[in-house]
Amino acid sequence: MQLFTWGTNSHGQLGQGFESELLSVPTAAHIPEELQQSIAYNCQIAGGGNHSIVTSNGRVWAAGLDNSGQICSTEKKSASVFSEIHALAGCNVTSVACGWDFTLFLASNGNLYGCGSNTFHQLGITNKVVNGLINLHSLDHEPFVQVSAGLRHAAAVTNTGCLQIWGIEKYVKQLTDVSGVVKASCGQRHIVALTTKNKLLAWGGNNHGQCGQNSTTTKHIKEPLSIEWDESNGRIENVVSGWTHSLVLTDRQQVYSWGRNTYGQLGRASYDNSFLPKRIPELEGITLIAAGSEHSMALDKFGQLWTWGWNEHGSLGNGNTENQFRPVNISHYFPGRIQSIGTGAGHSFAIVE
Amino acid sequence: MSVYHDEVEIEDFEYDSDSEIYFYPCPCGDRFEITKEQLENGEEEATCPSCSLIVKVIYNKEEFMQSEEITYSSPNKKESLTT
Repeated sequence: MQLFTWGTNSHGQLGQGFESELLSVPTAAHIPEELQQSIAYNCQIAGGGNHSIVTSNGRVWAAGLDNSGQICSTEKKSASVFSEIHALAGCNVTSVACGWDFTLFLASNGNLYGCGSNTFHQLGITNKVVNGLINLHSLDHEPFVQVSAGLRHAAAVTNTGCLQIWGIEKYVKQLTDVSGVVKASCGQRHIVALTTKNKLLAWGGNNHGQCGQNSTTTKHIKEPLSIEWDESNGRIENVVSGWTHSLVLTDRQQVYSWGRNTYGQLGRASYDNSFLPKRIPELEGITLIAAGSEHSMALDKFGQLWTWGWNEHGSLGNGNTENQFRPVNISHYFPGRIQSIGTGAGHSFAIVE
Repeated sequence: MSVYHDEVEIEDFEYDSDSEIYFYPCPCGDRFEITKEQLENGEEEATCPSCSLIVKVIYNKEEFMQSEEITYSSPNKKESLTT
């Protein structure tokens, strides 16, 4: 298995062994031998503003900027190669979520760990300065099952369907009356939650229509509102958010998008914004979706990788820096079948056989 | 369509008192920046050193003029053109 990375690389977050403005072509990262051996189907990769985190077989590796401790290195030292976060040894991490300059790690037993910036209390403690790893707790002390991180806030779902929110309260506050949540997704200033009833809820910043309300009249939605969803579209399996747009993947393996489209991040026929979920017609047989700050990716069942949106830093991996409002197939850059994908703010990842 | 990538309230910026610069994350990974002096001069565009995006800073200009007077006692402070 190989890890391919592309996009912004100003702090070595691509794990290529050097810092550079950008890489516009997917390039194999230099990963340690033991990661190469363990990188497998259960691997997950995510990125923040300037850092990248891979988890594989319960262990965690990181690269990029560490000015706030977001890659949990011993001396807050940035790294342009992936190295293991030893503080998490034995925690059996199953998934990771990266905010701008902080990281959350979900362990198989439902424990949640965090490192990095706590300036906006996004790690759930009152101390602004955090050293190393801290433990995050839910109000009901139930194990966590899913986690997401936005710019300055984070959300995690417990096994009882409760949603716990940390971080900047100006846009998204902790709510007590939301239940039956199966998945949450954090953007720059908003949250989208998927419930057991196949319902999407959104609240927070709505200046770009990111809350899916067919209007941007209310710039800040304080209480969760339902997003109109036609049940004939199928069941929603996953939801991911960029800074101001969101994507959902259905059980029909189709992708719907809404929110801001200034840079083509919705994957539609034009750059027009769209405030209600609409299908991206080109995409069929999709198995995975991911959203960077202003770009998006989807992987289909044939292993074909599609990217669209903002491309000033080569985040689309199509060899140039022109924005694309329609999905572009970049599969020809990879030597084997793509198993998994991930995004940071302006950078992107693929795990390739 | 606005030429600005976004509009961001000054209170959402992080202030570095050593450099007297206000910062806000840019989607490229770098940060939009505007100096205290620029704000005191009534400027409202925060730029990113690494990309083409620009945000409009939402702030109370009068308040910044006043705050400048307060901090004016500092002997090293550069005089701004508008005062």
